[in-house]
Amino acid sequence: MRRFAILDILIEFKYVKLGEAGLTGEKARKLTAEELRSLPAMISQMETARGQLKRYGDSLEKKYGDLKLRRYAVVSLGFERIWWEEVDH
Amino acid sequence: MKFPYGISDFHALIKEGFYYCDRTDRIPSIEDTGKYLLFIRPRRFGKSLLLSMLRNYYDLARKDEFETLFGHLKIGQDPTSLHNRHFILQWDFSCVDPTGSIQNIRQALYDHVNSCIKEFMVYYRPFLSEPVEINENNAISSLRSLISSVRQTEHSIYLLIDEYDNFANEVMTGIRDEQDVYKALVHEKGPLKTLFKSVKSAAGEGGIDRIFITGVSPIVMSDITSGFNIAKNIYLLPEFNDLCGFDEFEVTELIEEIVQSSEADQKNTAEAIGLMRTYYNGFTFSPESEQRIYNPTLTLYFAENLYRYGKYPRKMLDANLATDEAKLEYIAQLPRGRQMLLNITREKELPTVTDISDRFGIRDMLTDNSRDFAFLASFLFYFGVLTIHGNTADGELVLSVPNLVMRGLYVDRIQRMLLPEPDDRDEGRSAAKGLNTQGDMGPLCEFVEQRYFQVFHNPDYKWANELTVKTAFLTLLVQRYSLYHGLGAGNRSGICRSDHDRSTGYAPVCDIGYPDRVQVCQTR
Repeated sequence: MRRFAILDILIEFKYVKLGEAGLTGEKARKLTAEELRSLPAMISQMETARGQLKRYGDSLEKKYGDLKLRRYAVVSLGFERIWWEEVDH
Repeated sequence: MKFPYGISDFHALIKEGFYYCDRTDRIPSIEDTGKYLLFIRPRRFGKSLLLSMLRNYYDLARKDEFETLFGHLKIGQDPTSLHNRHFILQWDFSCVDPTGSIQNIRQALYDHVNSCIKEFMVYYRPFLSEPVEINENNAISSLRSLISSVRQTEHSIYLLIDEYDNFANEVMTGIRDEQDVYKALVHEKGPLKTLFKSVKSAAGEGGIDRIFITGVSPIVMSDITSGFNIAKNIYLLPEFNDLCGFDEFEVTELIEEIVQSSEADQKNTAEAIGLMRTYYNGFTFSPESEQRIYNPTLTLYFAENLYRYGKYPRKMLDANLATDEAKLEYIAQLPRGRQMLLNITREKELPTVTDISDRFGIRDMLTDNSRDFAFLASFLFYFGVLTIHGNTADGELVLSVPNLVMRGLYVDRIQRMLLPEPDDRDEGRSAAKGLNTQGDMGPLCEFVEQRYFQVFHNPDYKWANELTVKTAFLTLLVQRYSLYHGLGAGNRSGICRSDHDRSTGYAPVCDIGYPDRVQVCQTR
């Protein structure tokens, strides 16, 4: 029986080094959200995270049945920027 | 049922019919192990009660009470020949004021030793023929006088020292300026070293026959070691793994008894035990043992709540334990301490060490450049922040945070290390709440981007890597939920079922052991 209105949270973290994105810290900080989301290294990590969330989240739901599971992909670019997405079932 | 929460007087505990977890069967083994013993355990683990039990057992003035005190206990059937054969001299160094200059501390130490000797003289007056001279300015001279008086009798002293390193630890983990005072305390002519030297010489002459010393770490002993190199370390021996604390069987018995004798009849015993395991269990002190030991203070706190009110305590952590964070604070100040603290949050890469150092001094700690942080890890082990988790295939020891209570204290400390400003922490918590209740990830990511990432730009964190990002989120998500269980009235929970926890089927919040994944579930 569920007792409290708290969600079950699953987060997949990915990290892209500044060097891999070909950026300096300063340049990374100045990126717009759209520019951040169009960097190839970021896109590739986001895709990987999505795939893992799907597989792992599905197996959790199958196992526990009554989860209120929400899934998130969090990709960080150095210690400068974060791109996150909620991933549907 | 009466629960001896906070009671460490064995005599009162037995006379007044409190619950006692019988450890008297270890007396023969303690006697056989050696005459001068050092036993180390974290705070609030029942060390003082152990000493009090030994005191009552060996005290020659309590011979008439032996049957009342021990007759119904395991040792009662087959006592050793030494029972009620000794004078007991007991010191408790937690009574020594650690503040002020080295002269102040010396006097405080002398005052304590002198007052114990005075009590001794009053208590044992009928047994002593020679007078003891107290020297108020030099307790070592009083001790010599006491020894010579005792040697006129046919008995010798059993010296019990409780919290031998208490005031020295206070000095050591105090503000940086006090490091000089610590050095002065333990150095060649320092008061602590001098006192232990005179104890050693009294032991050599036969006035003191046996010594049992308890404390939280071997650091002070190592630093005074040339003054007192006779104590045998018994704290890592498997036969004493459970000398203090309760094992799983004893906890189960206790809970079953409560459920049967109280209003808690509708309670599920297995559920209560599962909860205790998650929050309190998990200490293994001997590398040779696999037995996990419950913190007795927390166990009794939980048991008393269950017995009195028929339900679990609202807050799983007893406030008495919270003061342990001073030790984490100390570690966070040390050159490589911060890195060590953050590393421990990664469940998949638990710290491994070749061995727990059984003797290491303050200098080893401050200059710990070992690849595996051996001394820092040992320090945290002795203070109960880390425990032995198991062995690697090639025989190294794997260490981990023992249970959810320690993990909560620990994560909270890391959060404060990373975010020293209370306002920042409040903002972080409120962002985390948004995620946990509304599924709102935006504010949390924004917070990490703007606050945590700034911290990691600081040269102090130049070793930070991609896994540090997960740690940042963890400190925010775990913190709020970890010290409250999910079964009481109105609290959110922080336990999730997973395959990760080998013993319980319940795993600590948030971390299922993958380096880049976080999961927060709630108890059902």
